[in-house]
Amino acid sequence: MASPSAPFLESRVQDVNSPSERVSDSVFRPNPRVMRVWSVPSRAESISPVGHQKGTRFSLPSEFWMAARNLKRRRVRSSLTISGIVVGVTLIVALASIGEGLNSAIRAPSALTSEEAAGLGKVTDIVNMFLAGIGGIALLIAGLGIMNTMMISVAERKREIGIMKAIGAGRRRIMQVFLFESALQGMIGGAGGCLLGFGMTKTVGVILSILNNLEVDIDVSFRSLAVAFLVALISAVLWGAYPSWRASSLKPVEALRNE
Amino acid sequence: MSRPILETRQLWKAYKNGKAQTWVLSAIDLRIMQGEILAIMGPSGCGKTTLLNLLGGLDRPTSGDVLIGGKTLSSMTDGELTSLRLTEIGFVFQAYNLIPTLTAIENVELPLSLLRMSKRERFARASWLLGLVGLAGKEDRLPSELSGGEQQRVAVARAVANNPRVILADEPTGNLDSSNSAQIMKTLSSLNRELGQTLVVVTHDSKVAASATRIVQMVDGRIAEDRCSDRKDVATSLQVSPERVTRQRVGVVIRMLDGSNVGEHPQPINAETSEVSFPRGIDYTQDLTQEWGLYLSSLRPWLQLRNHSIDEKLRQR
Repeated sequence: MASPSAPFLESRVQDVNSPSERVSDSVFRPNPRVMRVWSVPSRAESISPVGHQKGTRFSLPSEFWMAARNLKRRRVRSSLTISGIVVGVTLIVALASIGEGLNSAIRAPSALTSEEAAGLGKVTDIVNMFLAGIGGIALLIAGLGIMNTMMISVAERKREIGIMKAIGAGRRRIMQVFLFESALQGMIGGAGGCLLGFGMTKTVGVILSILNNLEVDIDVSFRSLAVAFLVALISAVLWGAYPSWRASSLKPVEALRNE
Repeated sequence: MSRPILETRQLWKAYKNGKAQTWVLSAIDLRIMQGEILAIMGPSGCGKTTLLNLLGGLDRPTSGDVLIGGKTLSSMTDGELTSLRLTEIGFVFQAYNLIPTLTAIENVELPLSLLRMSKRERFARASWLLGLVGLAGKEDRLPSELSGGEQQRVAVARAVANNPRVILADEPTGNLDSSNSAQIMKTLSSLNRELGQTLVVVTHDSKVAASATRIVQMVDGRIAEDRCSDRKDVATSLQVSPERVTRQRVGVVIRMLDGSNVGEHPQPINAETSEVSFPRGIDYTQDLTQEWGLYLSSLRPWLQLRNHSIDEKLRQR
């Protein structure tokens, strides 16, 4: 950058200082004599970066803040989407735990004869499959909900995407922003669903034991909670992939033109 | 004269509307030198914004080519254009175009984070830039909590954050009142002066165009007129007044015609009289703004450090 100007500056600096001094030297190691007559460096000193430091305010990536604030701004829509995921995850947790609980109740030495237990086992197997189907369908619907929300979000924020592209954000970065938002909904929904599923399962256990006089204590295994959470997160990312890809492949001018 | 930083060669652009083709730009040949302030003026729909988008690599021409610093844009992939925009070009729009979910400082940090600058560094640089545009203390406000003029100043800070060589402004003062637009133009032209950045501004406002060094009039997609401006304080009439300076005070004070001191410049001094001597026959006014800008930036150790670290980042990419 300094090259076109070098002859101009050099001729003058050389007269002042030793002939061997070059412009590039004075650029990176300013001459104190020249410095003294110049007023700007005092401002440069006064704006030393240390004074502005505010600890670890930016410990989270800016995508997180963008996603979180976007969810907050469109809170009705995002809470509807998240409740879809909550329902799906709740069903998965509850059904998995109830299935396990029933199985262990039947296998436990009890008043039931082995014939009765075998019959009941078959019934529970069918019920389990049925319940798993319901859970899967619930999650599918929740996933479609995420995708729909994200598609609307991309359409609404076309301009924002255009700005980011104009600034110089690449496709990957724009995909990240939207995937992060999608994943965040999945995580919130997954966590809520795990809590609700846990509560629901325990309640069902209590009701069953009161109604049937069975000694049913349904445990909610950590494994089923973790699996349900991960399923929610992964499906949120998968369902969000297409809208994010669409966002990243917008042409900058078209995106900016969108009012 | 230095080589052009921005150049267009026989630039044609058509928009397709169904089967019909509308030619927006026809055979635009433009050479923009480093350090220039170029105003593009013309009636609505004459292709000003389209030209700006092509200059910034946001859009591709139907035929012809754009060169930035000697690099042809048409041979670049979309990804290469994106990183060119990140490092060489800053955009300022009419509608401010801040990211609504990010605070003022996060908006300024965005291009820095795209360069993978460390949090500490980009926070320091962004808050320094916001201070420069007079927004110290408002760093943590969202764009919706700022006035139009303030938002545009954030946008200016964001545009210059990566120290680009070219700033493209599309009606930067279109939504602002006269005092705010004067302030924005003052900020932009002082950046042009101090950092040697090239500024291309599309405008309807003759006041804005008055601060340009060159004015291009467009009519129906063609350049109708291309002239140097009659701006008093640069180029043709920059007054270099040799002040009495001592041996220690190496330099001269350069004042604008209105008396404001823009700084000092080292000059050969006469050892016997301790006075600055100006060799005759040298046109000090030519190209002075650009040389001046480079010299100014060399005198700013802190800024230089910042720019240096940006260069480092660019080298790592």
